[in-house]
Amino acid sequence: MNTFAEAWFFNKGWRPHRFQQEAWSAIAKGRSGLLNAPTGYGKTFAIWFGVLQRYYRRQRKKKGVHCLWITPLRALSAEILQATRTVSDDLELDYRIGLRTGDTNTAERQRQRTAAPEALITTPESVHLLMASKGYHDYFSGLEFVVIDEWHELMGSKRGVLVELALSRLRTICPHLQVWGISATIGNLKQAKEILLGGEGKGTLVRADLKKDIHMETLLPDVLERFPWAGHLGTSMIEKVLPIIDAHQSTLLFTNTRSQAEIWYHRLLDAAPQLAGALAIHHGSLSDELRLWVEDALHQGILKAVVCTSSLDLGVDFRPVDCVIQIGSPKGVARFVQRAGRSGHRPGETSKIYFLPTHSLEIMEGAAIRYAVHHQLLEQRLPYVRSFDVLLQYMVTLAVSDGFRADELYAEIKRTHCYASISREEFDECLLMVTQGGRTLDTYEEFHKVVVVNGLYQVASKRVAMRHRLSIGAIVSDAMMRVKFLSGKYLGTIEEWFISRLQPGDTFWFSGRLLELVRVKDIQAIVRPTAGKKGAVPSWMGGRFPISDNFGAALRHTFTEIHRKGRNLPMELRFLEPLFSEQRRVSTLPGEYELLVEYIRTRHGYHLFVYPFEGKLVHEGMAAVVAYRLSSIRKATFSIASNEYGFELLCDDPLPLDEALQMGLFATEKLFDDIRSGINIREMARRKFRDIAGIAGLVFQGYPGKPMKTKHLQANSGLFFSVFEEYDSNNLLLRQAYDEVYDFQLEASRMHKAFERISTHRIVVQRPEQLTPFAFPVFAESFRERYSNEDWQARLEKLKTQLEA
Amino acid sequence: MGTRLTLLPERALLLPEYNTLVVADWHLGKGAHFRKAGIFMPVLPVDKDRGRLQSLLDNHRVETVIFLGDLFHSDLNSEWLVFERFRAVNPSIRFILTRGNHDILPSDLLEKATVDVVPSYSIAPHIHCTHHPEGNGCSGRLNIAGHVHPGCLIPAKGRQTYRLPCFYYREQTLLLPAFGSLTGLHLVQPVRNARIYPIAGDKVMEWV
Repeated sequence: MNTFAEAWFFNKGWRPHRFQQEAWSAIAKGRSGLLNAPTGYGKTFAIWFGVLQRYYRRQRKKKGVHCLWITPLRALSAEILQATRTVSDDLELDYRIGLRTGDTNTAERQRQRTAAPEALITTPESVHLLMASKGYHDYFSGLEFVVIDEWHELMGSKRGVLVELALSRLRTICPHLQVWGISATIGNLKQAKEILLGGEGKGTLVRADLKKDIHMETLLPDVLERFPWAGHLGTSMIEKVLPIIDAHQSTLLFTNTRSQAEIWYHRLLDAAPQLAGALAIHHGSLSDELRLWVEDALHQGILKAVVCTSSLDLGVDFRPVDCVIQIGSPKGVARFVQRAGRSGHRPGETSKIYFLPTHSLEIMEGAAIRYAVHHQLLEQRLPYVRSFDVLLQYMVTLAVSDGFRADELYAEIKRTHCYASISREEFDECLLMVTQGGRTLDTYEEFHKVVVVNGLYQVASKRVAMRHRLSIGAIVSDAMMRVKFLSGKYLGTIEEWFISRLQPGDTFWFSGRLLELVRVKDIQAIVRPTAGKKGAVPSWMGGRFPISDNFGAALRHTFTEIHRKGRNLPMELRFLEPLFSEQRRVSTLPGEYELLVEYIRTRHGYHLFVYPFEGKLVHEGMAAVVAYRLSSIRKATFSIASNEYGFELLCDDPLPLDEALQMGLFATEKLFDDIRSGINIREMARRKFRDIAGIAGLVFQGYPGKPMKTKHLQANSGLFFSVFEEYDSNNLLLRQAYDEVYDFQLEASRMHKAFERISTHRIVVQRPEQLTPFAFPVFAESFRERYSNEDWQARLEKLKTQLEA
Repeated sequence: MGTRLTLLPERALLLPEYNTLVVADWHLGKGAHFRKAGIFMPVLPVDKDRGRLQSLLDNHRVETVIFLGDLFHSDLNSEWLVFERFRAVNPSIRFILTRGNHDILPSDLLEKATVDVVPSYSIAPHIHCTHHPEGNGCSGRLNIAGHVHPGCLIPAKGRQTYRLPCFYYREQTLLLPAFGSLTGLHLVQPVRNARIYPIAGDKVMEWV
């Protein structure tokens, strides 16, 4: 029994859940584990009282930090701080809790060093920063607990790798460390536990079997547009949204991108001016000040609605929220469930979510998501492996503080899931990269980063050390401009490329306001508010994610329902019937186990449309393979577009389609060879390399919000990529970029499964006269890849003829 | 009437009547500058750039080379030796540098390498060279400038695009592409009155 919990729960008049008792008992036995519980049911307390009990079990206690509580979000940290401090206050404990995030000021940090609190609530980056300060070994020597909150969220990112590395070091310092993860339900919960606890079969899995009811409804337009254009429906649907906002206390409107949030915010205000003051906007590029204000106002219940992005996906409870609207594709089942869970937070309440499609075809996603949620098709989170960029950063982190020894470090990181498979040669190459810039560069005497003195790897230069501390972390952002009012008030950040296209006097929407660009100074865009109605809408890179594998499967399954035409046909599919008949009339409406291929000639050229319904990323890869296979029959250059439902190859010349199909256009044989042969892998790798270069410290950007003078050290990652390709093609970071393309961009294993699936399908080839309802949204995608197996010179010749004509 | 300007695919401009070669934004020393800060950059591109410039001098009648600023990337480092050697094998050619924002090398070094450092330089009364483009103020004369690293994104048939370095002419200003291999591109827009000359492999074309 946990006496602290007993007393506290008794005073509150609450009764602990079973999962809380299970967690307390496991922790009391000194075990590590993973707790799987939804938000709003007291998962924090399930761990926290365990920590307290362990701390007070001994009379004489070690000084220093006893527990590290790591969360992915600063907002969440603040909430944990409040909850845990309340416990200490209520029970009059001398167990102190401190907050350590990027926002913590120097004085407070200093205090945390000299008189460390018993618990530090912090982020993965801040833990690495602590390990970059001298004497961290002593600082952590009394540590008994590390708690990783929202582990499912961290695990699928390189921040998860930061956590793995931090744990590997902390376990060396404190061999009896107890590690607990807290995770929402994901498809690979067991793996999540094993990665965190460093091995198979270790630790306890505590599951809260609490079922949360979700009420979900799709908002349908009055008229069905048979030729759906991406984004077309959006604003005409505002009339449907207003009554919902009216009818609820507080509504969250989730969009998939920040630009969509900006658009929706000001369109909503246009349509319902009375909402002014009660409507807010929240996304990741807005200043902390603005975001905190919104979060506060949500807590207090003074907002009717907030338009937000994934920035409000996680963690913190907003009690007044009783309704959620998802604008645009839900993309993934787990994400949708999580967003739905933002409403009706308390035990026993029902979560209420409306799905608002942004184009006609997307309406069918309403039926698909309902099916997927009902069957609990929650996605897996794919952990990163062999992230050399993070390893390089970590090596320098350790070298900046107390230094490291190669053999010890190698043994330590080999125990992590991420680096279990790296060889000593690869590890040694990383050492060479931080000491002399790389394998082949022994002549580079001037390379200064890490030096080896008596086998200890250390950073000697103060400037290198300082620059490194400022760039610790695994989140890389584009070159950002800080948006400020003339008065100096800071609004947030916008990507540089967007501002560079504006002239002073031009207007744009940001933070829900129409702003006029006054001038650009260094990395600041000075603006003033302006009246008027028209302005550009910024877009941010990296905000896009594809539909998940599980959701794709659910989406394909809807075709079975469509064809069955039963009386129980979901309302979304019934509504889409005219669109489906049009598709059927001009082409074919495929079944769940059929693959539709459309070959169409227009004034733009020859289009090949294919609809695997596998999500944008997989389609990009499949398109490359199909392009390669077509062009190995006849040399050709393609322009490629894809969306969540299918992809398009566009070519100047007719395609040898029949021949290609006979030879197995969608065959699984030689699939990986054909992927490799697709030239746009390189383009994809170039884009992946951006993050890698940032994390490995090649591209220095300064600290977000705190730009540092970096005289003549600016270079973009594209330059590094070209340079490596040309002069050091075996470089580990370059190889990593390609591996990441295979694992995450192409999702190669998922792609292989898709090809396998298709090989069992009937392929239906149609040659319609014009673009079909399915084809139209793909065609309308503005972003295009190119693929060509004609060599560069031949392509340039072609270009020359065109330019000279 | 008129002066002949030859746009070379080696990313340089030749004025045959004046036996003058103009080269912008070499950024020599960039690789070493990065390496000193602990950021990897290979050495080979430097040799490649030097070789490219040497072959231009070998294959054209050149008496004067004008470096349109940003000749050297930052503080002194070992790559300056490359320039000194290059200077030594071309003793009879006049080197002029119109100082750019990156050119912070001490003057005596440049003097030692017999580079004439000037804020701007007029090849002829009607041809004026500067690092930063002068803008609209210079009516009646041509301004040849660097600094921008112009590049263009050309949409081609089949909705494809090509990203190429280019020469860019607009309102009596001719912008030269950056000469150095370790430089990026700043994309310029095909606005009215602008003429864009992308470098496609071994050919300079006009993009209409």
